[in-house]
Amino acid sequence: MLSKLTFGSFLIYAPRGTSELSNKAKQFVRALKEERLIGVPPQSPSAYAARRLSEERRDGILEELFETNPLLVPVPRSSLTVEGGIWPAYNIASALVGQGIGATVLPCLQRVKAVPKSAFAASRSRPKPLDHYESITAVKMVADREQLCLVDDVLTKGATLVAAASRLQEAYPRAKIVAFALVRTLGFVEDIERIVEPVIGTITIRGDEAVREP
Amino acid sequence: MAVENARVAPNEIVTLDPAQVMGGLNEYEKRHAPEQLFACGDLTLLRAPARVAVVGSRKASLPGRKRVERLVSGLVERGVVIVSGLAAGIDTAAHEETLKRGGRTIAVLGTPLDEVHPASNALLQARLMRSGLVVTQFPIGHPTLRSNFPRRNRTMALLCHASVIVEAGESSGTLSQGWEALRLNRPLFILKSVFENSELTWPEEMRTYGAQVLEDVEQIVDVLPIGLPPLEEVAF
Repeated sequence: MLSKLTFGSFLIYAPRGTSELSNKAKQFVRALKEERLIGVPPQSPSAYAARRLSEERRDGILEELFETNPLLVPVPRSSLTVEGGIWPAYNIASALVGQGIGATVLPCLQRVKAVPKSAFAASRSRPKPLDHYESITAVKMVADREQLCLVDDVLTKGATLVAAASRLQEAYPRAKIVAFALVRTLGFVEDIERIVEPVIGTITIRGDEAVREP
Repeated sequence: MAVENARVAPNEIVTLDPAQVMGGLNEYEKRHAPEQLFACGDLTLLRAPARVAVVGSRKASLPGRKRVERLVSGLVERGVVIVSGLAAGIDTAAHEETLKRGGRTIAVLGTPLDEVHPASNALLQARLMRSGLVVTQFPIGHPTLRSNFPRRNRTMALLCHASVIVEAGESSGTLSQGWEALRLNRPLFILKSVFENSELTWPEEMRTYGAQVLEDVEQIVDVLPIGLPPLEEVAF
């Protein structure tokens, strides 16, 4: 398994927050999971966020992830997906490509065994990187690449991302693997002061846990 | 084969566009959404911030009915609108318990508004038309076919923020609602007692697709958008 992964994220939300802005961010995350239309006129939350990212990209913070125009690899959901059902990470990756961010979507990772959802599990019983690693498989769909970028909806500690990156690295040994999560959780923060907060950080394996910084 | 139903006379039937009711439909929702909805009663319930479907077997067990009472009581206390299908058994218990607790409830029918199935729920349907809301996708004159009921259950999943299955057998029509909720990535809860029935395989299968084991009503409250802004105001 990889011991370190570079990630970028665009938005933040505080699950415990109660301010007006925190509630807006929470509702956005709910909409993202269910692809419920937001705003007036109603629009896809994935498409809306991708457009906002495209507008904010000028400041360059996330260019490290996207400058090589990588293929975007959606991260599998924690549970299996019903046929014809919603796969939030796939929708986000597709919306990014629609904004010219990333070359195309490469759905080469698959969850073969469900794991408990991080959002619903108590901290100590959340699945660990190894649990995710053992429940995800990768299929080599194209020739090896210079860079591949994993895409996920919500980043908690990073256990899923580092496990998915490890599987992807096995299928594409010469590629540099990076990751993008649209939203990252701020678990210990009471409230947020903004929703848009692009950042580049790292996920590191320490013992059997993933540690995200920032 | 069509079923013979009892009749009721709705006061005023309003025709609704599901896309307008839901504030727009995504591509997944459109797949099984009805073209129209016909409603009689308090339409504001369709815009309530928290709507939860409580559904289950027509042949409800006594413990199942008791569980409905506890569940509905906890949800009504928190202002949740209870949605069910006006079928015999668990559905009827869910509507009746809501009314008993002074709560608000929506019935989503598998028949047109002027028909009642089962006939024994004629008074309940008439009451919900006056003091709750009754909704259907089937226009007056549409025959009551077996296939109406799973279609009705998919519509109920669409109209609710979350669904709860109280009890259901291996071939229960309720399961179509569970699968539709999972397809739409809406929260689906299955009572813990259902998992304890070793004769059933569907609860564990649904769990692998994202259903949650319900042990406490707070699990449902946690996933509802209570206190959150409407989706129209979420852009940032």
